[in-house]
Amino acid sequence: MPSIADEFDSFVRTRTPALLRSAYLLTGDQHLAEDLVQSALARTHRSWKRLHEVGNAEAYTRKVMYHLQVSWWRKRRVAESMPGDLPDRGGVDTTTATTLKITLQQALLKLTDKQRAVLVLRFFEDHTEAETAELLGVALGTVKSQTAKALARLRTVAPELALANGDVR
Amino acid sequence: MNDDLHARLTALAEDVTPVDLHSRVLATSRKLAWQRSALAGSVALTIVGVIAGSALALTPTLRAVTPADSPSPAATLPTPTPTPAAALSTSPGPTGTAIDLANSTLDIPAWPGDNSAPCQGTKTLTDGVAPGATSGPTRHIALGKVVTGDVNHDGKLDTVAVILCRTGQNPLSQLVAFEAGPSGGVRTIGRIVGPAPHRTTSELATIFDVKVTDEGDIQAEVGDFTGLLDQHSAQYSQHQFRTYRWDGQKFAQHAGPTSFAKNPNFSQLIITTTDLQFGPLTGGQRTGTLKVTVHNDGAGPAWGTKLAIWAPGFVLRTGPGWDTCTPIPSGEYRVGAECVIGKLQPGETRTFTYGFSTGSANVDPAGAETYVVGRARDGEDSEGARPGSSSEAKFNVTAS
Repeated sequence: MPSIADEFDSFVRTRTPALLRSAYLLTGDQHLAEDLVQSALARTHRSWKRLHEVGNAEAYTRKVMYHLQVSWWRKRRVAESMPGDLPDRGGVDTTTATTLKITLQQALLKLTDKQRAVLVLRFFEDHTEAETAELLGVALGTVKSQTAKALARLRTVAPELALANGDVR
Repeated sequence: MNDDLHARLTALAEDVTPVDLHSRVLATSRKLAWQRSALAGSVALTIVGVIAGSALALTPTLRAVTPADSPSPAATLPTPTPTPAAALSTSPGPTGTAIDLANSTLDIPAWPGDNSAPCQGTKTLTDGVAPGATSGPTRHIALGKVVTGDVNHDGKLDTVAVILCRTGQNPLSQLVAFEAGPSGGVRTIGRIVGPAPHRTTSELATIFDVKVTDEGDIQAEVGDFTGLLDQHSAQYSQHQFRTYRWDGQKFAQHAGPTSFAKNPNFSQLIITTTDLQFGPLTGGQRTGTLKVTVHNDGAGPAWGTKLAIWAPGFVLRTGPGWDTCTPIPSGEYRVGAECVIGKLQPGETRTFTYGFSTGSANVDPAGAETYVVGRARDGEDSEGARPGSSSEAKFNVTAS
């Protein structure tokens, strides 16, 4: 029978890739994503015995991750932008997947931490507005307004993404 | 749903390189343990405490299968009415046998306010659970309490169940009636009741228990709060008993209250402000004030209320109003401060005046967002089981 330590080891190794994917969208950077996941998992480790008993360690880790990334009073901290402007598109097929990916990455970094978190929760992790509000510890109305602002901002800074207007579900 | 955005985010997320963080995680954990022992009770750990409190909440919210007439998740709660639940052996009673919903293919009615694919449409349950999302957090259908009775008055036994959309966080629940289909499958008679499309503390949010009377009425025990754990939903909800009846076309409420009053377990902050009004330039300086009004519109106390005030970078904070405030690290374009207000009783309103000065002739904030955001807990400690409340108000900067 595996020990509790073994089970934490297994949890880290099996869930880190998925956690890193969300963290990468939140931070836009491999190293920042690693730091964020590392911090969240360390807190999970502190509570592992209890989490192990109740059985939803990943949800806990994700919640910690979002809280670490989005402190309530830093809600509008300007995200650090990557140097340079959008890629030179002269002669390049702007519809290629790679170009669109770079465009999206740079556009995400032009959002605030909270706007990015709302987008990732709503459209990557498929949480409802109510769940997103609960996870981030904000009002439902804030989630709605931040989602609308984030989508509007994305459309402005990266019209080539051709994002749909509606986000109702 | 913005499918394009989902697909593009998914593609972008695949760019991250998987790494083994195990040893780094353990090192950070040891560091945290040391900090915790050295700084126990400090403000720095309050945030961690809030999150740690949530840990208790993150338990699976329901067992996978609940056989008919077994104790419900809220089995310790009082029985709604003396009316006994319909028994399978009632005679003369409806014909037929209970459907094994836990191992059936069910047509799940739409969820008000949530149309994510893993929880709607046709779902095949195995041992009370249907497969959910293949990526991201958990989201799938789970079967709650199941009871039987002739709820549509056709002389045949129907099966009524609490259906949950388990989300890893606060589950959604609806009460649905099923009957045997003509060709051996299960037919959905209809939704009896579900959560309000947009949950507020005045609307139905969760279903604790269900019974079917001999007359075919469905009695549901419902609440206005769904927490991360069933026990939190039960603890902080206002509990009501509502009766529903088939009207020949659909299920409609027949008896019991139809709305919830304000819940004494929850605060509701409302922040309002004046503009930041500067006076004329005198000796090269303008002074101005911002009045912030904090109101708790909830029926529960607002604990640990704090404000964060963001003003343009060209102003300075002056005067005694800032005694309970500390600066928030920010750039040259903004001035931020976090102010501790403390506890507000239900209905209480307080107004605070904050002073500013500037040597600038032009007080146009030039795009800097100027606003006050308030936040409060619903409990005395940082338990994390209740969401707390927050409110935000923007203000203009003017000069005379």
